[in-house]
Amino acid sequence: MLKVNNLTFSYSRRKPPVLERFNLELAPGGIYGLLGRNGAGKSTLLYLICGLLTPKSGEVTYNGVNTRARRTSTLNDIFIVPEEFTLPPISLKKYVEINSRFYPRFSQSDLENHLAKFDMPSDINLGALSMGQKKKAFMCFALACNTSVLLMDEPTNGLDIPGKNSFRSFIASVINDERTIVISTHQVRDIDSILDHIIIMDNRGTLLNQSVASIAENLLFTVTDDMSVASGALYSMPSLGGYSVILPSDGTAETDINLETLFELALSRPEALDEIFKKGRG
Amino acid sequence: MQNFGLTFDKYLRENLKSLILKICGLFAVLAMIALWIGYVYNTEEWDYTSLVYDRAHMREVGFFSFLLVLISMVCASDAMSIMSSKEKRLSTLMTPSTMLSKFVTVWIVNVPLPVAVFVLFGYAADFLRYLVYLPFAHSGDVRPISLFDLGIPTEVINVFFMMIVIGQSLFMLGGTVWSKRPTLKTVVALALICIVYTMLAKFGYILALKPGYFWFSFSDAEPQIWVCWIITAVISAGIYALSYFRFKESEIINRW
Repeated sequence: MLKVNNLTFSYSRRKPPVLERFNLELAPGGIYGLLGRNGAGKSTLLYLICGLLTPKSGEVTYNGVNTRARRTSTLNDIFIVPEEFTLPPISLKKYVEINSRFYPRFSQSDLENHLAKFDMPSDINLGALSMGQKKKAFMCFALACNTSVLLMDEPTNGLDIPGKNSFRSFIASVINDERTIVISTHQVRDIDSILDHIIIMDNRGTLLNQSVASIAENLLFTVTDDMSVASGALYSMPSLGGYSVILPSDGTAETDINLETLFELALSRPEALDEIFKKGRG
Repeated sequence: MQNFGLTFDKYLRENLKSLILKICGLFAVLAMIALWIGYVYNTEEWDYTSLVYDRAHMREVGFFSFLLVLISMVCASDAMSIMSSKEKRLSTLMTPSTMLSKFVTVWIVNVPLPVAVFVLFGYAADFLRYLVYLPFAHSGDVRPISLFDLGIPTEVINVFFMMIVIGQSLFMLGGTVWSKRPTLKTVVALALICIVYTMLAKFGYILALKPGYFWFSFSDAEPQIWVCWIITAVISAGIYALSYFRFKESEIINRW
């Protein structure tokens, strides 16, 4: 279990905190989508979870251990795929040989399966790859390490269209009851079909932290050209067919979640969302 | 220990090409200097009967000493290049091994190793000069430098290496403070410290110093070499400890 307890973090004493008394719990066995505006602190939160930054107050614990201590036992069970990274100019085979020994659950066959999904050969030189190819190779290695927590910051940036499709399929294929995958992104359409938990955050905390099942149960996403429906909705925004709206669900039907409108609703009316999910729990 | 072994192996293998390139470059530079000195001093006729040493030796020792200082300081500064960018910091900090293992790894490769390789290659370059100019010189004109007799007093050699040991520790500390251009910034910082110290000492504002005296003097007796080495080791260990704590507390984003 990964717990973020009352976390406050600021990049400078003079600047307002990026995160203030932030709380979050991530249970094993899910793919979490971490959404937020630019500057909301998504990447910062991922770095804090890994222990790469020191909070002003509060802590992040993984299985009860503060991740900032950077213990070897924590580091070999948490893997982060950042938006930008460097790989040494050596062959993938050598890179895997050198680095896989740090991860006790690393699986060579998993790596080969993941590479095959991306149509990548295993005899490649990391120094000669494009950014997108490097990202694919690094993500394959990250998944093959079989760490319990995998954090990904904008993983689909730089991937081509087939790459994005492969990404969805291979993320969906690796999830199990012990694994937590957190994907922070602005490219919501690249990942909306694979998420089973959505977290929308701003600097003060989580505006929404619900499972996809719960959201689908409590909210109705539809497109209407009826102005009266749009004006009475929880949220509406102009779209091609009229208005994309979010209505409270009456429980009769479930619709596909429109992450973009949900995101706008969470930012503009977080209290309304809160109310709906409280009712749902009641 | 296993964790350290893995970290050391990872660092060496991921940087193997650049390390080999640096080592080959170093030997090439030393060999060129030795051959040039040999060309100047070993190809002209000279009466060696009155000289104990090959005339080229002193020139080589001078050049090599200057280069050794330069290279050992640059390498020590460069030890923290693993933290010079956000991407490199992330890669270093997320490697599942202790911070001490990571620190000791970069210390070994960038502090004692360059000095050892330099000394070894210095002798190799000198021996190359000896082999190249042996056919052209009169008998006895060309001699290799003796490993045990450089023609310099032992005290001078000891003091020189003590300065190198302390200098390396200071430059490595500089590397933990400044991730960009650490060598230059450390040189500037040390120069400023020296200027301030000298000015304070000149006017006698430093405790236990008389005006005009620039160093503490506890006794008129010459200190033993081993005592000096112990003091050097303690000072440099203290500076390395400071570097380690700075490295240990590093973050992915330099905030201050």
